[in-house]
Amino acid sequence: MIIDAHAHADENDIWGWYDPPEKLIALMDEAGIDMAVITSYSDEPGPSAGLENLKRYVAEFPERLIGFPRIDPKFGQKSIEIFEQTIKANPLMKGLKLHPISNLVKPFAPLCVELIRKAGELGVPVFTHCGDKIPALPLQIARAAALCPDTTIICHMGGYFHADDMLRCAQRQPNLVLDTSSTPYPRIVRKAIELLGANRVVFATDSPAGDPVSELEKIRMLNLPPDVEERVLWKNIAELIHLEVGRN
Amino acid sequence: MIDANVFIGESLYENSLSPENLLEMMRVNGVERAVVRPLKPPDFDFDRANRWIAETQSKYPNLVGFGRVNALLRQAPEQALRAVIDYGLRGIHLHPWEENYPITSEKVDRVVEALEGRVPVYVSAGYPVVSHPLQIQDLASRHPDTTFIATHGGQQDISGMSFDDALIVARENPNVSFDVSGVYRRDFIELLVEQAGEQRIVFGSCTPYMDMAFEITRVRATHLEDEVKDRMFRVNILRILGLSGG
Repeated sequence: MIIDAHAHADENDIWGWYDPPEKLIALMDEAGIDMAVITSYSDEPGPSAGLENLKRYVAEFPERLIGFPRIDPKFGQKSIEIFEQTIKANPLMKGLKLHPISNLVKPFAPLCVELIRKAGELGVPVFTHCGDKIPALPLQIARAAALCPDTTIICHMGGYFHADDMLRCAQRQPNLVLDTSSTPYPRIVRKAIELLGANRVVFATDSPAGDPVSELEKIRMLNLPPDVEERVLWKNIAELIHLEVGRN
Repeated sequence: MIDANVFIGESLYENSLSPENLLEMMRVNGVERAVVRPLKPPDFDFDRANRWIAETQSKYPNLVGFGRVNALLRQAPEQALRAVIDYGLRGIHLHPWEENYPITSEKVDRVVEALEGRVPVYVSAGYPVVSHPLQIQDLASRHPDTTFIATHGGQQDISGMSFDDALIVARENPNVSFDVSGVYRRDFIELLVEQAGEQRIVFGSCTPYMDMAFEITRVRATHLEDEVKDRMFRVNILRILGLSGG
């Protein structure tokens, strides 16, 4: 079993990015990935149909895709209501996606903190973009994590420039979990597992932009003990999103 | 296979790499030749490091040497020229991030002008403030007769917000080639090839900052034709450096 904890599917006219679920699933098949957590390219509320697309995609491929609605916190109560309704109405939606670079709300801003706390109340994790620039720096995300101790926040390993910051933040903030996509440094993935333990790192690809074949090879080349690799490749994310399929 | 972007020597940043260890790494990964330039030396003396690169190049024929200068220094143009003419090095590397200057600085112009287009200028690109893709373009546009090679596909930003800027350089500046070290997005590698043309993209790993084995894996995993990958892995850098063989 392999589960990709972070991938995308959307057909977005504004960005000009067209990645229907069939494209993603073909890439998953090429790499041997069984399931993927997907999110859209656009935020909700917003002018694009990202959330509706996401609902349709997971309904079309319930055995392969799990949805994390991507919500813009700046609409306050409206954002929270959309998120809560989406999670409660759809068992294939199992988390929240935040992208501070597109919504421009800092992770520790009150509007964002309320939304992250709501995810904790609903028992689902948050996945946030992390690295390279404001407002998605590890120290900014760690500040949010400290304000929301009952919510698990999954994030990238700091991109090109903030890997060491990210590792330090995750060491002191136990509700942070790191994903393996987007970092060009295999050694940082190994260091994350060593420092945080096998339970707090999840395999991800950022597909279809990131390449599932090489992202998977990034894990394989570490020659991890089988039980550790298994945790990274699927068990950790399966537990975080309460995925019964992954427990078989 | 040729790796166009490797740093060797003693390093201020404690990631030193000896030629012997590099050659073993190349053997394990099936890399026949590598283009090497100095890591930042603990004594900050690039002229001494360039001489050592020249000696290393003489000792190990499958290592091709580049010099490196700190453009902030008054003697940088003279050192660059000396590296090429006296030491026989094949190019000059500029690292505006580690030496702390914007690549658009007039001090960089003086280095490039001193070289008079004799050799390519390899630029560590995509670093905040100092070598954003459009800063690379600004430099390259002022020196149309010099060949530049930008590392990291010209950008380093996992949000993807710098891709368009790098692709502008790919389309508008035929004197800029790119290596793809650290480019984790397959679609961006493919777009670079599409928009710069398959002759202007080279394989470079940025060893020891990045992982040679993984960098090879990522290029191989692209959905490009094998002929295009061969150009990236070998043909293009041979042409740019005027070298023969494989």
